[in-house]
Amino acid sequence: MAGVDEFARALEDTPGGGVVLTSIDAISNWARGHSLWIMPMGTACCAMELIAASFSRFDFDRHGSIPRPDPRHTDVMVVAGTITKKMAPSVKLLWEQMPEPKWCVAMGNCAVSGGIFHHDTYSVIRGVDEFLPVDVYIAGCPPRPESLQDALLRLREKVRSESISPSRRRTVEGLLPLPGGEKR
Amino acid sequence: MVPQVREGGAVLRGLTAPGKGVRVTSADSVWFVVGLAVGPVAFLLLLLGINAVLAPSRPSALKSSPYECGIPQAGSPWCPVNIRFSTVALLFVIFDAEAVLLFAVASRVRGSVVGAAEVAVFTGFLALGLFYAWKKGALKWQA
Amino acid sequence: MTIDELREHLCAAYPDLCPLFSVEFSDGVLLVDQARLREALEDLKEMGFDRLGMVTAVDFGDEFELVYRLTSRSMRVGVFVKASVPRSTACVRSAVDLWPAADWQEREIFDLFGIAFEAHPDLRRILLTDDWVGHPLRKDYIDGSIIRRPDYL
Repeated sequence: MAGVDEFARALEDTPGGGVVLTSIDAISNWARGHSLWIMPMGTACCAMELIAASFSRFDFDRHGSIPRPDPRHTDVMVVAGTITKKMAPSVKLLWEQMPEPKWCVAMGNCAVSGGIFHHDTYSVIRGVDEFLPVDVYIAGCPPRPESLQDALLRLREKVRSESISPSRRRTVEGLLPLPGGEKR
Repeated sequence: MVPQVREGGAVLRGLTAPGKGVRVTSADSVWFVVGLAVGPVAFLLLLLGINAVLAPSRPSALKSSPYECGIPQAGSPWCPVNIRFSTVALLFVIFDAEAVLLFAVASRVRGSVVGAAEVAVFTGFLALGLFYAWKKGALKWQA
Repeated sequence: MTIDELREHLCAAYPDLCPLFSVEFSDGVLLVDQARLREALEDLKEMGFDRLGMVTAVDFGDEFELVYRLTSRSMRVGVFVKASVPRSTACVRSAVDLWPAADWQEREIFDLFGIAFEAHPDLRRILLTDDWVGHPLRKDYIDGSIIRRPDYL
């Protein structure tokens, strides 16, 4: 549907177009991976660590990431904090309003699985991957700012595996099994 | 030997004849101006072109909805606007054009009494218009 | 006024409740029953307890208990007022006209416990969404989405 899909298909069909395709992929993945602007969906304590990671001691500006308030300016949504059932439609709408290519990072135990609120609560969503496609999970309650930086660097590796042509996309093998036991 | 004239640090090489001044019609400066006009436009078109080819544009109704921190939009942003905005804009355009004309004329009439009288007549007509607008209440904010 | 003077004054005013007035951590706790709650609150307001710190409720299984925290800025003393409210008729007179701070606190109690407040200007849910069914902080609240903590954790 988008112009880029037809362009990629045209490149694949022409002889020698593969070289152009891989070069374009390399350059655009490098550019995207090294300038991941963040949508800070910080609702609770993890937001404090997110803010700390953006300040001078830990500084993710040196990785090319800055927090932006508008979803239309961002590449990554970092869900940092507990998401309640009342908040979930807002998070979903903001995710929909982000333009492609976009990724999602679940920061902290509450965003990964509901955290300490997994049991005995009536109002907390148990893990933001119930309604968002999460790319990187960060464990911790709250995780240290260095963990968030590590997550951004792993996301950069994942971005490097993407491609404008669907047949060339690879999946990045995760280090740990996903919540729920599946391995992707 | 072609004499070289230094002007402001730059060296002008031009076709000269003995006795005449230097004429600045070298091909280099023409290319410079063309580059200055075309270069930024070409760069912009290159960036937009790359974006048009490579950007994954998949618009949808939800994606284009107005941003209001995740909640559905409350009310429409179209509302009646004070008419004075357009009145002030109109007056500004007229007097701005007058000011430009005055600047253009000023350097020519400097020093001559007849010129000053002509400019005074011109300004007087426009002052009459301003006085009319003033009396009609166009300069007041509240209608 | 110190806590002992307060205790004496309250014992004189509510002789039948005097044994129930306890001093814990140099804060007085006055236990009243629902019928005398309004009267006790009005008396305390007149005595100079001008700040309502909080209103909250506890579910003891067979009855609720409303807890009011009142402090006096001039007298430098504080008191808790606790009132038992039966589950069947969970309806109490609102304290908004005495202390405006009770407004949202009582809305929260209504939202989470279901205790209705008479003469409250705007009694509706405040924390949960408007279409929520039930009152979650009751001990007998049932919701299919709650996962109980297993024994081994």
